[in-house]
Amino acid sequence: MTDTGCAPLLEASGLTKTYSDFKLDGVNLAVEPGSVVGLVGTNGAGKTTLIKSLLGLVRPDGGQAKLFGRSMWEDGSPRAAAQEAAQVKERVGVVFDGVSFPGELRVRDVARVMPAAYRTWDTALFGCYLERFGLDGRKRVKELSRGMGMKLMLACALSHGADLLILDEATAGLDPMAREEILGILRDFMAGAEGRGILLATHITSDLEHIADYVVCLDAGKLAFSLEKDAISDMAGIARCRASEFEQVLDAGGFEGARFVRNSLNIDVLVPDRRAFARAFPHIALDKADIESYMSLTLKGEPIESAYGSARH
Amino acid sequence: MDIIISNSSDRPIYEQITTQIKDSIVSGELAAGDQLPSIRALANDLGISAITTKRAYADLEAAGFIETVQGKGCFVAGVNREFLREERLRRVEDLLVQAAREARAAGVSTSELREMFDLVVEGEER
Amino acid sequence: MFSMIKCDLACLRGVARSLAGTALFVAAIFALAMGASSVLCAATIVIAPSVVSRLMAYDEQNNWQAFRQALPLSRGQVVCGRYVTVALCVFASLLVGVAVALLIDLGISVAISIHPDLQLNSWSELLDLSLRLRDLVELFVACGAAGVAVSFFGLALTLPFMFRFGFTKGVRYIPLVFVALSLLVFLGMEGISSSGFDPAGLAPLLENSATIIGISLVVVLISLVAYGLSCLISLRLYKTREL
Repeated sequence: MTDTGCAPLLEASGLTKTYSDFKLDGVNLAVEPGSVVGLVGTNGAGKTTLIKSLLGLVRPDGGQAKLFGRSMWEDGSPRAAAQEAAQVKERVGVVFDGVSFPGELRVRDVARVMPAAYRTWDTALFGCYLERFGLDGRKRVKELSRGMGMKLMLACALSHGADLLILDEATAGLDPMAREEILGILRDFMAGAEGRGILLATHITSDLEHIADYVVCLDAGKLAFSLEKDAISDMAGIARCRASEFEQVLDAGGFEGARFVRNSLNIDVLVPDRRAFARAFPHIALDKADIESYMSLTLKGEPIESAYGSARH
Repeated sequence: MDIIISNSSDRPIYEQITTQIKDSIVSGELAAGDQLPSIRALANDLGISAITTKRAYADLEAAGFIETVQGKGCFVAGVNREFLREERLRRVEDLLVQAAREARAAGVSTSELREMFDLVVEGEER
Repeated sequence: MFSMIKCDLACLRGVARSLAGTALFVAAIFALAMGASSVLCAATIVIAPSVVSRLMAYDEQNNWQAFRQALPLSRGQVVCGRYVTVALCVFASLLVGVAVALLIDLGISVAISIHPDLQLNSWSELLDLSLRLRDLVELFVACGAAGVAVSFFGLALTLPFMFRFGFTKGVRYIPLVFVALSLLVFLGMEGISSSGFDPAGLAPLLENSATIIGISLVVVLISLVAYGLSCLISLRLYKTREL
């Protein structure tokens, strides 16, 4: 994934974390400067565990999780080193699902808490965001609607000169208009300066279609795929085959890496290069893939190689 | 500068961008020294990945159409007349090849084709 | 660490008045019941737990403590900052309690001296007042010190549980802690009486105001040391806690 040759803003290598009922197993992920990485997976796939490991909220059992080249887990390190590591977070803006402040706090109290934590806090900019989002300083956090709460957290994340944003299900529970507004703000964030990055964890794959540069998919704690988004949205396609057409595809060969799913009325085949497929089989119905269908076929489908071996009539 | 990309095109998105920008430069719509939107800005406007726009710009730069000034952005390269003319000739040749193929497929003879061409050129001149 | 203190104070800002008000109300009831305003000097015993519960409960609301860990605050800063904030609240509530107690006492004294006997007796009344003031100082210091010391001892015992288990689970250990504490005190007293030492022998010491003040200060210092030790324990516990 390296392009500029600069160090990644965020990196997980071989990250492992074991719980009693779940295991994050050997996950690799990086956010390079200037890129937006979408992290997808079903609920419970390990996205939040991964993010918690990166932020130093939980201790990795194996592998590494680093922000700006430093691990955020404190255990054992002397006080000065721990404080130095904590300062790395000046450059990181985090948005979790829902508002992350005690319910009793008012918005203007939030405006007091944040500058206490961040040396680089920009009060004027925060005020601009509050105004732009229509957030009333006197309102208590618990009185804010979900959308407003998210916007408050986003305003906090954007008001201290962060270079890296980490969002965990930040658009969940929002209506499409609100989601589009937030995605627009994220796009502006990326365009605002060179070398910024975003890790956007979501199960709403459509949010990523117009913003992600890379898509990383987790499934049951393991890395299912990690690709450039174009490889999914522009290059890949899904052929809707009749049984006979599927036989033709198998006979033709040369579609390594394709996956298929037998439906009751047809067979869906995920092909990595839809244009090549269209040239080879112009008569077979072919759709462009999107992240959701790509995920579905990758996680639930079988590799086409397995069909070569099975008995054919 | 307008750029339209289509998912239903048989060409990858980065190629569509490259072609359209090239066309704009060849047609003179974009003059030498004009600044192009940044990789990220173009990606945002088109709603596509920055990797795509980066690839498009890299191709354009490799082909000599644009140049990147570190810290400032991408600019249309001072284009060489010869180079432009060559590019234009190539386009004409492509179109002629297409016409010839169509003619053959329709069963039009070479002499008929030449007649049609003369008529067309005459029509254009008027 | 100051960042953490400011965070906590900002969180308390909205509720400071209601917390103080409720706590003083409870303390005032105690004072009325016991017929002595000096009890208010020990109001900190009521205020400190309210503040701590509020801050610790906030930690668990909306994942605030997890989000706080995503801010540029190290865990050490979080623990030390919290301990300092709470200590500041203890001392602040001591001042508030003393001030209110003084106001009440002076108010009563003035009311008595104004009331019917507005004669030459008023001077002797005032002289009486000045004598009473000296007793008052001893009483206030002793009560204040008792309040502060009990608060810090109680906090020293309970805060590590809260840092290790969080407020909701940690709170369940508090009854156990106080049972254990009462047991220790009981055993201690048994030990003292069985060793033949007669606490009544200490009574003359208590006549001397300097000794009273001295003892009070020593007790407060010991409680502060316990509080400091508790902070070290909490540091160890919180650094390895998964949020």
